[in-house]
Amino acid sequence: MDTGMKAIADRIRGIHRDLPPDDLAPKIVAALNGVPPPSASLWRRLLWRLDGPFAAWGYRLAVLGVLAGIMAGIWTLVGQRNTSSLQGGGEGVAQKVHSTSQGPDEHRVSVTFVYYAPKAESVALVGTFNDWNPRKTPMVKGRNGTWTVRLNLTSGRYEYLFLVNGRRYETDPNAVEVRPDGLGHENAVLRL
Amino acid sequence: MEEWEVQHRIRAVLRGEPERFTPIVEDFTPALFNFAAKMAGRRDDAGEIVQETFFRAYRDLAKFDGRTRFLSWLFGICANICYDHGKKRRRQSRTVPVDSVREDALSDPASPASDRIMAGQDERRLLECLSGLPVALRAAVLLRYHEDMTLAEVALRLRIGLSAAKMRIHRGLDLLRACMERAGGEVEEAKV
Repeated sequence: MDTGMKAIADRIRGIHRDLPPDDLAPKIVAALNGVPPPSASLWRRLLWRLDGPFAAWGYRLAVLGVLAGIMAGIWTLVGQRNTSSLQGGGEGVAQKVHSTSQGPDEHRVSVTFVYYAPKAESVALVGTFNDWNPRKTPMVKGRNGTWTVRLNLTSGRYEYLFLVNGRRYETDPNAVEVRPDGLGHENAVLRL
Repeated sequence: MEEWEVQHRIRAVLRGEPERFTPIVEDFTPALFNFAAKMAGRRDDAGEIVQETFFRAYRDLAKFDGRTRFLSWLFGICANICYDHGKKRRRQSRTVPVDSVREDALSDPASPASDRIMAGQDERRLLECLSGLPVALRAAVLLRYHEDMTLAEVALRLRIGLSAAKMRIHRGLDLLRACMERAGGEVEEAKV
């Protein structure tokens, strides 16, 4: 800024200040009395409490306690899930889980099939237990891109594959045992 | 009124104590009135503009996020109202009323009479030039130098980018200097 413009800026700073008439503020207050009073949302009030004065410490502790409880609940759920099923990797990584729970029939075992494919639009489980029918056992997608389905199977030997997007058959990469199908592919083998 | 007190009062209003807004109106009316008078170029219109500013601020009080000064937020609303007001007045004469002349400069017994007259005439010329500026430039220049806002505050309140704010201020000062020179007022060098 050159000196001429600085001079103008200084003059603007020094311009007299217009004072309002004495009755302007009371007039405005009176007019606002007829306006519906504003109010804040519940969420905003909650945030205010959190950064309020020291008098709100009890409230803060209560809120923190609730949040800690929620976190503990989530932690427990995630922990259970990890121990019972997933230790996911990239797309295509799958695991089958043998549930420890037994059905009313001692010979039936609950098995959860898990397949990690976050970009897949559909995944179905096909195998000897459903006559390789892709419509009989669709898998359900979870939040983390994991597809699952639980079956109650009797003891025995089963072969299975995952059908991705109705077109591509994938062998369970974590299968303990696989068997060539004679057509250049391998079926996963599950023994119960 | 300190900013923390303003924000405390606003929270109280939003929690259902509308009467806590009254001191805010009383405290900020002079600053807004002065700004509105300079923007409109007429004291007569300033009261109406300030009233409308407080009405909109009260109605939208829940939208104030508390991250900036409340007065700065009010200036932003006031500037918008002045834009609309300026459109209405566009066809009218852009003269500055006599009551905007710096009366305190004319009546200051400490300075020689000739100096006082010169100071009054100089300010009158400056006000005339200010009211001749496009309203967008006028708002930027007044907020920056007469209301002592930072560049960032000016940009935020006029809802423009920082470079646009700089441009408006620079252009505004440039036009003012040219106007003052045309009007016969010498632009003195600033005492930096």
